[in-house]
Amino acid sequence: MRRSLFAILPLLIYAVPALAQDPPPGIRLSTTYQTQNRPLLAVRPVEGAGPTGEVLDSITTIVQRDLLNSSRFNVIEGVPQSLRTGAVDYAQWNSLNVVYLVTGTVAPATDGYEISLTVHDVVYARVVHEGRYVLPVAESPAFRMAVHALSDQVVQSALNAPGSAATRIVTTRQHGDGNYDLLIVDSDGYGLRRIAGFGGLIYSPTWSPDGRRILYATGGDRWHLVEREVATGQQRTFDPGGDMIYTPAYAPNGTTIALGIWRENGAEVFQYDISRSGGLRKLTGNLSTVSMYPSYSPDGRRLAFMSDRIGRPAIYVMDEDGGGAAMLSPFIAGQSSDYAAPSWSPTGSRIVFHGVWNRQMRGSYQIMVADADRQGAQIEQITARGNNEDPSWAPDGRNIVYTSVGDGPGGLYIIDAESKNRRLLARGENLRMAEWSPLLLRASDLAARQ
Amino acid sequence: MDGERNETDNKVNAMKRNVWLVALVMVAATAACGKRQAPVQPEPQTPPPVQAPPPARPAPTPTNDGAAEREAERRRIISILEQTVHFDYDEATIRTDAQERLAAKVPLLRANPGIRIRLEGHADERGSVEYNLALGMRRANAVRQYLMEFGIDGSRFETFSYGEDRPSVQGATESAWSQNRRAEFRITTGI
Repeated sequence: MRRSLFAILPLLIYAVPALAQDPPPGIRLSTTYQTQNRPLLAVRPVEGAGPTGEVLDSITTIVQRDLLNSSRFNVIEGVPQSLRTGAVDYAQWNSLNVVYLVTGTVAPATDGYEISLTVHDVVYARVVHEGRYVLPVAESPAFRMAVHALSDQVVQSALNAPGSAATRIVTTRQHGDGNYDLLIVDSDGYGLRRIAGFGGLIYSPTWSPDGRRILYATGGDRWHLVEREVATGQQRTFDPGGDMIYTPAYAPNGTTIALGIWRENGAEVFQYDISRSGGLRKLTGNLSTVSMYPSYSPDGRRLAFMSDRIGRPAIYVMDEDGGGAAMLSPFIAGQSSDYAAPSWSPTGSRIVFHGVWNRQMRGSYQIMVADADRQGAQIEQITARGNNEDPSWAPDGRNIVYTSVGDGPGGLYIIDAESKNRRLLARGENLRMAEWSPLLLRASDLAARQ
Repeated sequence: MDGERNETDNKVNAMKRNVWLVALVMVAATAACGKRQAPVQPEPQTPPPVQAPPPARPAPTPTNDGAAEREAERRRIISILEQTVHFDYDEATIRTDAQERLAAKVPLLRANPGIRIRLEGHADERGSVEYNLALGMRRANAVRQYLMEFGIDGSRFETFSYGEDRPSVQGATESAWSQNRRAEFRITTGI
């Protein structure tokens, strides 16, 4: 008797919290991995006579990892020795179930290398892309980004879909004293580095649509916005007024921004023109409530935002002029939900945010995806453990970066909204508030002169 | 950069406090009180702990017999005015215990109309980072509003929020969280 009790107790302990996590109607838990449907891709080791073997290897490895990270392919790890050189034998590749094959040949060029890149459709035994591109020398800080642009070209050529390799993620790292540094990291986790901060409060960094500038809110004696040129470190500051400012977001035109501003007894979403430091216009208007976290749709006509106008933080969608606001996050009677930090997909109508349907579970936020064009439809919850916050879409509209603590090592993670595969991008429990850049470089920028 | 400036600010403020101490003694002697005395001084970002009395300083006029009493009174005023109030989870409503603490500040604020205070709202670590900034602001504003209902001029308060970024107690326990949901009071000028 006693023995069986001991056996049951641990079961109960685990079962109770598991039941509490079951989402109510309106939210569908969807965290299972579905990777079997991805086409198989192989990157044949890049060949060439000029550059060192090390350089060739690094090009191959970067492209291979990028294509795996794109979440759109399964990638062959080791290419059989017999298939590493010579003319492409489609039948042999086909027998390995490979669908897409990438080959490349590198030759020295002025100030770098010229690479001839070919993407093959193995099943139809044809070339779907062939291009010649100029890469900077491997020692150049621009080298890896250039290779990433080639990876995105492969995705585009094979699947007619955008990639997200030639990108960076901006984030903040909080010190023990509560102050923040501003950091960026490449999409493959390489080169995490501090670009600003050195103490002080830094909140909600966001990329300009051209990827050249980062805008963030900072406090101290007076709250203001700082826009920083990533390449040069040059800064401009904006003071739209108000007691506090929060969560700036660029409109697609790169000059209009939306942000939260605290005035008197509450915070509302405002529009502001940074090109003339003026044109402040209020988009939401509910005295004594808090509205913030705006995020523009790719056409700039709509905004997602958070508001606690019904007494709890919820996600809404409205027109760019502030009209027609409608709730997007699930409304479940009797539940004190809490949703925040919406990010509008750059390729469509999906909106990702973090939240909990019961605020007693605050501190264990999960990542959820909704569709702005299907309001009232079921929301998809794509994480289930730990505390996950501040999601942001990659320019491919598929991968999502977010901060996570308590489900594996703490840090920045990337999850594929389709397969729910996730990977650790950068380790650090004190990394907070991540945002994914737009594409920073395209293969066409590297095209060799004919 | 900020750290350096804070240090300088602290020194400058310490000097200014001395100057104000002399001024207060003179003002008290002539019983001429009530005029707004100075523009708001910049507030150090990392001020001394709330409950700790200000560091002992040599009295500016050691021959003056009343100086020690006046210094004690000054310290008493500071300690009451800078007493922290706490909030319930996700709330900015003034609790009963906070009402008592705020009520104790009212006569001192009335008697010392030159005193200006920076109200700093804080949140516990749960909740979204930026939303917690707003929650802290809500708490600071709730305190300001409450004191205004006692007839205290609202322009004497500057409100600020650190959200969840300046916990007074580290840790992910209910006890730590309840200590961290608070509004702090920094006297910026007038004493």
